[in-house]
Order: sequence, then structure tokens, then C-alpha cells
Amino acid sequence: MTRTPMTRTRFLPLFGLALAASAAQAQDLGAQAAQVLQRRAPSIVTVKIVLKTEINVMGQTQEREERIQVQGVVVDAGGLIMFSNSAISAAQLQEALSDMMDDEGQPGGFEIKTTPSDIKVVVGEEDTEHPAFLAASDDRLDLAFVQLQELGELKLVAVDFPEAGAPKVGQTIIVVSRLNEGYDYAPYFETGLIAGEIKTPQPAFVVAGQAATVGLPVFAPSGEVLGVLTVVASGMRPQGGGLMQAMGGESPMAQAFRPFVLPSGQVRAVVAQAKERAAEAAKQGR
Amino acid sequence: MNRLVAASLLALALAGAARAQDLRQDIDHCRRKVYPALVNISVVVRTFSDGRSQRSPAAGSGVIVSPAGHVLTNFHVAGHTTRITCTLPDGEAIDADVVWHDPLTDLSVLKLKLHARKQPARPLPFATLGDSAALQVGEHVLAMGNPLSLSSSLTLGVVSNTGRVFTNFTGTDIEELDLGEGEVTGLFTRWIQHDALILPGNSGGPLVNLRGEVVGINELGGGGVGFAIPSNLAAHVLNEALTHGEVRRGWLGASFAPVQRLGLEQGALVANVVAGSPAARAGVRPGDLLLALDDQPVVARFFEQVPELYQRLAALAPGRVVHLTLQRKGDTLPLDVTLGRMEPALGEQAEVPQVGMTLRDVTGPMAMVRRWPDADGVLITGLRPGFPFEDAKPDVRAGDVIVSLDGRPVVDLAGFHALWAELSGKEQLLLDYRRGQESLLTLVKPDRKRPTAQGGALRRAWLGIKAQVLTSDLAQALGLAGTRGFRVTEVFPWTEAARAGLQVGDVITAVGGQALEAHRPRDAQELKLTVERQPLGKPVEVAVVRGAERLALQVVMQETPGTATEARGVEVAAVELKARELTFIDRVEQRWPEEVAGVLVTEATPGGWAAMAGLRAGDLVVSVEDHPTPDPPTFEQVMARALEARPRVVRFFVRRGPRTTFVFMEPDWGAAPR
Repeated sequence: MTRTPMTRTRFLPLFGLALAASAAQAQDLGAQAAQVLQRRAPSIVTVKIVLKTEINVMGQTQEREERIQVQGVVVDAGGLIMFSNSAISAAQLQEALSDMMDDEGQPGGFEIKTTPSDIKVVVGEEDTEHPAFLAASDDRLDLAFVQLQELGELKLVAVDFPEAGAPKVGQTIIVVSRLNEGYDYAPYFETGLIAGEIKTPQPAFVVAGQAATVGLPVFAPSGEVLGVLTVVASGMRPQGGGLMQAMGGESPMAQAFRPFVLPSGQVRAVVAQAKERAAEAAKQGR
Repeated sequence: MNRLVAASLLALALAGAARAQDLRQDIDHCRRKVYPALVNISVVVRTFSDGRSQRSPAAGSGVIVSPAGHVLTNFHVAGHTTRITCTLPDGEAIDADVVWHDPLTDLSVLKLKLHARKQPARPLPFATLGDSAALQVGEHVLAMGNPLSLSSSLTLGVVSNTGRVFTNFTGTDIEELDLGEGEVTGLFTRWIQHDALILPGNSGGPLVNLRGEVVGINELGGGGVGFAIPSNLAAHVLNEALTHGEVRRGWLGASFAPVQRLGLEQGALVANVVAGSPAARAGVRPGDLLLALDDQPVVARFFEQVPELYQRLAALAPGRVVHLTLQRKGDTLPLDVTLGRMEPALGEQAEVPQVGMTLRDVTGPMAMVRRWPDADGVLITGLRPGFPFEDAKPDVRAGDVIVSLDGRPVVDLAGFHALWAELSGKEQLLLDYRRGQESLLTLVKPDRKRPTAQGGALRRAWLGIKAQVLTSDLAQALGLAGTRGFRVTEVFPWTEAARAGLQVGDVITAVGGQALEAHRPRDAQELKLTVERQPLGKPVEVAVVRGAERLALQVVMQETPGTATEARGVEVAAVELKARELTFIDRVEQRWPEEVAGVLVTEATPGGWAAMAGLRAGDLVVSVEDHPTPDPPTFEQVMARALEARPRVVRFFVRRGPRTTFVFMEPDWGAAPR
């Protein structure tokens, strides 16, 4: 057997091939993401909410009212929209901050209360804002649901979360979102990579990359639904970031609230419950 | 010789002691003369922000200056208030009405509601206004008031300047004082500067000479220097307010500078002429010298003399023709000018809750500063999100001026109220509004239907306990080496767990046949997640280690208890109070047994009557006026009855954590919405 030394001239074509392969993959991913964007964008909507936030620190209350805009996904063609509960609920933040601030065990040291109202949904790029009501929420999975008050002529396209859908470590993911009103609600995609898996505090997948719009579905490049991007609070007291944080590293709070992918099966069960709650609430509201 | 020196020193000491004794007597005389008329003024201040009005308590000082109960104080104490209460040194509290607010001099004239006194015929102490023009530099003065809300306090000082005017650093212009949001004051004022200690709370209190006369109204203080509005100016405002119910002032529309730098001793330099003003219309120009007013010479050599000129002009009635003698480029120029009426810098501001806006009347000075073509319309000062105007497209912003609604002109606040009442039933209204110099249109939908349905948190199975991970080390220390699971740290009362007999100290090793693997602190969520997967309403086996025993308890999986957001709520708008029914978690957290009933306060709007009484979020209102309030509907009824009766004091019995207390609410029924 003759050893063939890897010369520079032999290496270069190989390197070139690798680059070409990588470029081809990127091109493939771009084309696939564009297809996912085209197919899934009709399900991505904009939810507008007036949110009142009251922050009580040691008996002193500060109140703020603001109009917020978040992206949501149609999960039922009957008008049920899912989005990130963190947008309207301070439950997870309250828990983490209380843990940090309430060292002496005194109750009522720190309290955040949020009250959403005047909820409206914009479908696609249309001008109409459809009134909706808060149907259900889940602090632990960080999901909230609003139900359109009336569908009228509106035809919604729902994203279905299959029981078996789940990402794999190393898999590329695509999230379809929309820009805000100033950009005419233009749809766009974010890509990321499943970079790891957690079992506690609940099973979910670590995300690396740009995909960061929580509350929205996560797709495989093939278009298959894998789960939803959500905030999973670690449940542990945030630790100081030391010198690394001072040098610009991730803060303990950011680490405690980083986005994860919740597998589709878990989402499916919650969507089913939310549909029931929406129907009950609509009945009571009549 | 020594004897002579000693005798001289003794004589000096005796004279000094005598002077000190005299001063003490003078102070005592003043104190007895003026103190009884000194009032502590408690006010409810109304402020506006983000489309809402808010109230907050504040305090200042004042002095009764007539047997009929007229009180002089500062506008920055009594202005922008919804309630004014004057407390006399003997503790008698009397509510007061406003006779006149005069921001241009920072003075307010109030009138005590003497008919509401317990003894209306009882003579009212009052102080006498002295002649501030007679005050001398070096003269002793006493500042009386309620510094830092410490009632009836007195400080002694000397007058250091009788005609203080504030100029800018370069000494080239007079600086008026800004009372906030562009409300300026001091145009006519030459302050009495003194060194009697003035602290927050002294504002509006009297500055008294050693004859026991009020020679000023204290307005500013700090750094060991105090400034008082001269009593002669206060007397003018008081007399005008009592005679005409207002202070009317003539307006020329020109501002003046002293002539010292021109090398002149007489006259006043016209520095500015307001476009469209009487002066402008008559042909007055910047650079003219005003030599005489109605043939009486004008002397404004120094800045200190300029306010006197403004006073002279303002003292003339609006509409009166005044004869000006001007000098322009060496020529004498006689001009007759018909004076206009001086308007306040800012218009009235009010909240219009039904549209979620705060609005302000536009005045001439406001329009002039902003270069608007006229003073018509109402200025939007704040918008609440989710209300019709904030929701309009194209958008409406704070700072815009509403010009017309549905084609009908909006001239002022009263006009807006009337028009809105008439038009709010329409599906949409065309709004014509001004932003700067732009004229914009938008559509406002007054009555958008809002969904009333509301869901809540999703239900999951719940065990009704708190637990900690049985870490490996802990397990070993407890003699349970190798055991994994959770140690029960709290069993909530009235739960299925309590009924099933779970106890603090039990170690749960499996739920529904599923073994728990938790053995590290970070496994804390495992028990919760395992329980959540169990069937709701069904008994589930919970495997427990209790001491040496191994037990299998059957625990019915109950639903997560209802959250606060799902609890029935109630709002009493008149006192700005919101409350809700008690939840299971509230009871558990507060350890309030089931027999404790009431409604939990969720919001006492800052500055609202409930908040000002001391009610706060977290209070459990057990009863109102001795009527139990076990749930929101009953609370609503009881409050409606209590408010209908409009008592001076509404009594709440509340639980505040482990304690009980009474809260006394004293609304101003005249100001409270019904």
C-alpha cells in the first residue's frame, strides 16, 4: 500500500467541494424555508392587546397601560389563536424575581399583575382588526389562547400539532413569523438548530440560532410541525453570571428564560383543552 | 477706669438683654395675634397622566384674612385640587371653596364653608394685611406655617431685599417661575427676600412683621433664603376676587426691558411685541421706548422696576383705551391702544373617562407659543390605550388639537363634552384635528363592541401539597438511603391530600404506579409533572414512606385551584376601588379559615378615595358600615347603599394579613362620580 501524501494541490479541490456542498445545503435550506414560509404564513397572525401592568414593590404600586403586539398562530380554524403567555403574564417573571428579592420571607415584597384587555387579531396583511377574548392560558408551558369573537366570512388556516411530532438534536428548524404593522405585517422566517435536549424541568429541546419568536410553531425544513417555541423557566434561583456576564455574557435572567422547543405532542393536548375552555367561555359570555 | 469699663459692659449687656426681651415680647404679641388665623391646608391634588386623572394628598399653609372666612394661600398649594380642608390651630377642620385661583401671582383666594361648622356663629379669628411697601431691609419678620406638615410653626428672620426680581445668569432678562407644564408666575411680583427658615409646607403661610401684620405670603425657600409675595399684591388680588369674583387684567401684548444699558434713566424699552396683540395692532414695535402711560412717566431703569410697569398695565380694565407716549428713533410718537384681556398661560384640564382622554382648553398664550392660528379647539394631553380616540386610524396623539367632530366645531372643553354626549351613539365620527401646523382627518368609533367572554388558566390535576426533593444525602440522613422521591413540606387544608391523610414528613415515592426518580434539587418539577398526567377527579395511589411504614394512600386528583384572574370581580367606580372573591390559594396563603368571608381588594387607584383612606391591594373587606360583605355581589349592594347615604365617613372593617383593622373613608361627594 502506497501512502499518498495529502498535498496542498490535492487538498484544495476537496476543500472546494466541501464549500460547494455547504453552499448547496444552504441553498437547499433557503429554498425549503421559502416554501415553508409560503405555506405556513397564512396561519401566522398578529395579536394586539392592551396590557395593564401593575408593579407593587413594598406597598408602592406603579401602573402602566400599553398596547402590545405579538405574533400568534391559528390552531383551530374556528378562530383559536395561540401565542406566548409571557407576552401577557408575568407569572414566570414574578416567580423568579420574588425568589431573588424576597429573601426575608416577607409576603408581598414584590408583585407584578397584568391585565390584558381589548384584544384584536389581524389576519395576514389585512386592515380589519377582529375582536377576540382571552380563552385560556398556561403559565407552565408559556402558552396563551385567544378566541375570535366572530368569524364572519373569515377563512382561517390552522396549524395542526401532530401527536408524534418532535424535533431531533442536530435538526434544522424554521419558525415563520411576521413583522409589525409598520412593515405591513410582512411574513418572514427564522432558522435555528436543535442544539440539545432537556428532561427537567420538563422535556424540551434547546435551540441555537436565530429562531427566537416564542409562541410560534417550529417546522422541519420539510414543513412538518415539530413543536412550538416557548419559554421554559428553569425553576431554579438564577445564579450570578460573574465576570463573564460583566464582559457581555448572557445574564442569569436571560439564561433562566431562554426559548426551547416544546414537542408537538405536548402542544396538541393543550390546544385541545384550550378549545374546550374557549367554547365554555363563549357560552358563558353570551 | 476699670469700673467705668465694667459699668459700660454691664450697661451694654443689660441693653442687649432688654432688646432680646423686647423681641421676645414682640414675637409673643405676633404669635397671639396671627397664630389663631393660621391654617394648615390639606388638599387632594389632581394630576393628569396617560389619559387619566390621578389624585394625591398634599399640604401647605394659609392665613384667614377676613371675618367671613377668606383665606389667602399659594396657587401652587390650592390649585389643581379636588378638595381643600383648612385646619385651624385649635384643631377645627373646615372645608373650603375656591373663590379665585390666580396663577399669574401664584395666589389663591379660598372661602371657608362656615355654615358647615359645628358652631357657625363662633367668631372666626383673622389676621390683618399690612403695608408691604413700608417694609424695610433689616426689619425682623416671622414666617408662620406648617413646614413638613408640622402644624403651627414659627421662624424668625430679617428682610434682606424688599423688591427681589429673578433674572437670568447674564442679567439680560427677567425669569418667570414655572409652576409646571408651562404655568408661569411672577410677572408682577417683586418678592420680599428674607432669611426666616422656609421649608416644604410653609408655602401659602403668612410672613408677619413685628406689629403682627401680614406683610407677605411665603412662596419659595431654600438655602437659607425665603421669598414672599408682597401683601400689597395679595391685597389687590383679594379685593379683585371679592369685588368681581375674578381678577381681570388689561393686556397690551408687549414685553419690556430696563433702559440702564441704553444710558437712560427713564422709560422702558419695548423688547417684544406679540403678533396680533393690541400693541401690534396699534403699531408698537420692538425698539420703541415707552416714556409715559396715560401721560404718567414710566421709569424702568432697572429690572426691579419692570414688574411695576406690568402691574400698572394689568391694573387697567380690558377694553380701556390707554395713551402711550413712545419714542422711536428720536421722535416722540403718541399712540392710543385699546387693551385686551390677559389670559392665563394654560387652559383648564379635565379627564373625559368615557373616551379615555385628558383634554385641556386652549388659551391665547398657548396658541401663541405653539404658533397655532387661533385658540379654538381642545388640546389632547393624554390618551388611554384601547379607547376610541387612541384606537382611531390614522392615529391621534397627545399634543393634537381637536378642531371639529363630525363636522361640528369644538371650541372648548364644555363644547366637547356636549358634542360627545350628542354624537357618541353614532357608529363612527369624522375627527378634524391639528398637529402642529398640519390639519388632519381620522375616524373615531365611539362604541366598539368588546367581547365579554373570558377563559382562564387550563385545569390540571393537583395534589394540594408542597414538597421538597428527597436528595440522596437527605435520604441517607433520614435513614432512607437509596429512596427517591419527595418529602411533603406542607399539606394544604381542605384538600383531597389532607382528606386522604398525607402528612408533613411523608416521603412520596410513586404516584399512580409511576416511581419517582427525584434525588437532586433540580428534579423539583418531577412530582408536579407526574401528578398533572393523572386523571382528574379519580382516586390515584400515592406511595408513601412514613417512618418505618410504607403506605399506599388513595388520593382523589383535584383540579388546580382557580386563579385570581378567574375570580369574580367587582368595581366601585365612585371610590375607585376594585375587589374580587377569595380564592382557595388566598385562604391558604393567609391562613384564613373557611368561616372568614369578605372580598379581596385588588386595586385601590392611587389618589382615589379608597386609596386615600388607606385601603390597599390585599385587604379583605369583611364589612362596610357593619354590613357583612362576603362576596362581590353583596359588597356591590352594600357599597351602593353606603354611598347613596353619602355619609361624611364610610367605615370598613378589614383583615390585613393576620390582623384586623378599621379604615375610614371620607370622600368628597361633590367631586366623586356616582
